[in-house]
Amino acid sequence: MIRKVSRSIIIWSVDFVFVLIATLFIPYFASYENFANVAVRLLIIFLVALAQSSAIVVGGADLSVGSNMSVMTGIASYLLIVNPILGIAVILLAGAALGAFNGFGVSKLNIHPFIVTLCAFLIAQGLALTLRPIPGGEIPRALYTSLYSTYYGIPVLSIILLLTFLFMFVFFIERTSLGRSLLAVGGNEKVAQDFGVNTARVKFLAYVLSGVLAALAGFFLGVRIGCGSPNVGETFLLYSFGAAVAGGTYLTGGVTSPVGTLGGALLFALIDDILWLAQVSPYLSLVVQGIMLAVVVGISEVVLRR
Amino acid sequence: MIYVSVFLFILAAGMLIPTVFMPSNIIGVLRQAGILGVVALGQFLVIMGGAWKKDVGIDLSVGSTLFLTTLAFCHINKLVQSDIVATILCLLLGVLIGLINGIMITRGNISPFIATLATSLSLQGITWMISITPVEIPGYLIFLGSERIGLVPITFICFLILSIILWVLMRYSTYGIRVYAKSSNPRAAQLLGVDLKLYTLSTYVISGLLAAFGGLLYLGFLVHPSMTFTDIFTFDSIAAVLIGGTEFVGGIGSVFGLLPGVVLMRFINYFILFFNVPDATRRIMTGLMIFSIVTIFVLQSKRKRKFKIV
Repeated sequence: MIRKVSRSIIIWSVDFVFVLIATLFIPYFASYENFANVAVRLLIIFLVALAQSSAIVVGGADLSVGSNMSVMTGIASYLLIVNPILGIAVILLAGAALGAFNGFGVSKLNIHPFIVTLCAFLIAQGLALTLRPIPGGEIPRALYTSLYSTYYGIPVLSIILLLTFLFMFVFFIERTSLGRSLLAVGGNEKVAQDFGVNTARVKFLAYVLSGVLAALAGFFLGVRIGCGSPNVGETFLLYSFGAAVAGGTYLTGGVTSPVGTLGGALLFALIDDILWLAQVSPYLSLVVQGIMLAVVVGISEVVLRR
Repeated sequence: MIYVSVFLFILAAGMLIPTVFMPSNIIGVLRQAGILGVVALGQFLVIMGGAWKKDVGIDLSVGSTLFLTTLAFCHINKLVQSDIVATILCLLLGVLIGLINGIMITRGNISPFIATLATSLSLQGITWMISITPVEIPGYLIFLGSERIGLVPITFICFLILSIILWVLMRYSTYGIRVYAKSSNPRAAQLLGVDLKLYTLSTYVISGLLAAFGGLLYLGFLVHPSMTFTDIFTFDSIAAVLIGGTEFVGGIGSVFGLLPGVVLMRFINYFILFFNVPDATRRIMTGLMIFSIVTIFVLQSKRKRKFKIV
């Protein structure tokens, strides 16, 4: 079931309040440069939140999205400077492979998603550390500038990418049979199976999709930081859950709202940006992010259940 | 079954690398296994009884709790100038963390994974914000953490004693039976009068307490606390619980399975240190190991299910 866009009003209202408060209390927030910053953060968080919602919607979760992103920044730092097209292709394939590992464990071996994706998380973390023990490598500056470039103050490319991914995902989940199968399986697996849906295959593909989307997020993250880094993706696991749940994705599966997820992603992008602008120490940021995650998820579970 | 496999594994490793059987190595492995074991007992209880509304029970905050305790003890000791009070306050800190987790889960309806993840991150942040204060570590902690009787370290003895207590609790006490019932069939347990909120909450409290105790043991072992800390407790405790034969979705659990579980985990850790295996490979190995063991368990139980009459 697709939550109606109108239900996302809640999260978008919260976003509006945050923007208002930030504009009033934090200098530099309401500047074109910062707008571009937020837009890029939003792009990354939105993609990883979509990845997580793909896994959540079939009744599971993907703990590996964060380290997935870290690995991809590593791959990006080696390949993009050599051949950008090849680099992106390898990243997407690697994401699909990681997703396939998860999907195989969940659908074929019937292992609980937490355990499978936990293993993937550890393995991916190890791979990320192997590729780039310390941040390094080089990602073409051209990609960075094109992502951040503004046209009359508006980060055109970022926004175009955001809307493209949003529409693609909405189209996928609403209009394609595979997308609808994802919703069906998450809603009631037994019934979906009785209706002839190949639940194992659907779940497998859901995790592959999660892996690919997370890899894509990792690509953009790599472009943003300009190098490969082994644990840069960790906080995004937190964001992916927060954004997906705040956006109206039910943790029990079957329900998701891409537009809501965008709103949720914006919320965490704003939090991330505000913490950065206020120059809060990274340790305190961690505490704040942890608390925000718990608060957002807790409130969302209560409010959006109606 | 698990005991045999782990024993054979260690034997095989020993044939390849005879230094495995050196007394100092065995003592080292058992000592670390004891500390991990204490933490794993808490994790066991949470995985068994910490499920809430279709979300599986898990405690991701044990590693951060342990680490925080090692530093907190020093600060509290400096503040109150009393070893006993500091020890008690540290254990209470563990209880508090467990309470926070439990309340987030049972009242806030937050899934255990997210709740304990949030706690873990917050604790890490707090830990990094407080620095180290050099303090004289009390004798009894050093005794618990570093001493041994013959080949057997005191930490391992602590673990054994606590395991037996937990086993008796799970099997023969009202509490244990209700936790087991809740784990097996929450709805039935509720109808039978089990207060789900209370029992779920209690598992996280005990886990926090045990993690704090593990922190004190670890401090006794380290003697000098350090800010460099790779979390070798959270995921390893989960792995140990799974290796020991506990089903992630509840209903089946083995306390004494934790013994070979923790020994195996720490044995592998020693291998890793021996070969100077980089941190990266270690994580990959842990991941693959958990995966293969769980796969083996699942395939095993699938075979059993063939004979079930539906």
